[in-house]
Amino acid sequence: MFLQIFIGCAAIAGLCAGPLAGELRAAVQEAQPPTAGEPVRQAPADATCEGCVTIPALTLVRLEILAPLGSKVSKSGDTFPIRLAEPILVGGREIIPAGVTGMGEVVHAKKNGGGGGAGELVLAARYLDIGARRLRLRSLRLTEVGESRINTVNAMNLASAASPLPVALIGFLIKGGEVTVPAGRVAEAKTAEAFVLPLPTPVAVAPPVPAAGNAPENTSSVEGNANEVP
Amino acid sequence: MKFRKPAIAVITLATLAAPQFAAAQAKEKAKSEPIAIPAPPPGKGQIVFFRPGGMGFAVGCSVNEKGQKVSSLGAGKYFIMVAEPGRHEFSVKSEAKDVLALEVEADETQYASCKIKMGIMVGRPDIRPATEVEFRGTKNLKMVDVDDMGPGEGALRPEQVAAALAGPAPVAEAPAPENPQP
Repeated sequence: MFLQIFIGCAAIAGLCAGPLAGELRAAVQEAQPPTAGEPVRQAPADATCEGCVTIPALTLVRLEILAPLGSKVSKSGDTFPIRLAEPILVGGREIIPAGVTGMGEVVHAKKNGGGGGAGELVLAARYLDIGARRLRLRSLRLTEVGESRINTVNAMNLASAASPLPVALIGFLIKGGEVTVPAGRVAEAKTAEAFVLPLPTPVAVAPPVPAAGNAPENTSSVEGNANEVP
Repeated sequence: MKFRKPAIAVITLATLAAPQFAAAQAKEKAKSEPIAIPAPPPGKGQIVFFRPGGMGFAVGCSVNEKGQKVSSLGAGKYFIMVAEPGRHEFSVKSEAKDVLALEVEADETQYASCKIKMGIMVGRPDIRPATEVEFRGTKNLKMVDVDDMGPGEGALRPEQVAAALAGPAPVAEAPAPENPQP
């Protein structure tokens, strides 16, 4: 009798152990903070979050570039600091304040060259650090090309055909313009994804002092979740 | 009777000249019509490569990615390349190599141009980022011939461009809502 009950219990425990262990493992993994090398995991967007606000994907943001960049000084793959120049507003309400920092990347940098070749610089905005999370960015409108003098050199070459002197060789010494992006330059980018976060705490308004002693306790004028922006 | 002959001559001339005039007008209209660039497929980006005419027309500007030819780009030609979002590196080569890296963004169109600059023996192609304004400002651009396009799925063939233009409403870049409610 006891043996049958024991076997039954053991079987149930065996069946339950697998899924339970899986859930436990997942819970432990979620609880562990990301290590230094790991990218910060994006919190899943909670569509049912009450008192949360969503910054829609492709929202325009104005960014300030904090380091001087240029086709001469920058290299492809370099990163550079950026800062939110203007707050992100949703429904007229400031959700992310100006000053939040992040990172951009030099996608392509090429020095100017002989023959009138101009310097080139292609930049990308990568993310803004919002607390422990990252708001991914895209579509930085800052691709610059220096003044090209290829046409000038080509015109010289044509003219030199009529000249007994090798004037065309001078063309090798003529370089195009470089591109310089000074620190503090402001450019537009877009958010790459919808970003859900708790509403920022509104400015607390002192409640009126009740005249009688029957005022309910724990009265709050703030509705919804009043968590701070992480 | 006196005016009959000249009248017939005028009518005959007008009849003969009308189709010629219409054809010339159609040609002029086709010339002045801007090139239609379809929106990229949803979730993908695209780059329009173009090469203005001028010096070095005999030198080729063959655009390659990862060692594979995307398309040749003759003087006064353009082609459209659909690409996955992310960093793409393109190269052109004659006696010297030039490289251009671009960040392709989903649902967006970017532009790049190729010019031939002075070289020792032959001209050197110079590939660089460009803008739509530069593309629109370059006159008499024509699509690259299919024979000059690479073997892979690089440059869009004319029938693919036509299908994209005739297809469902293109998914244009969605404008960010100004004041969406939370």
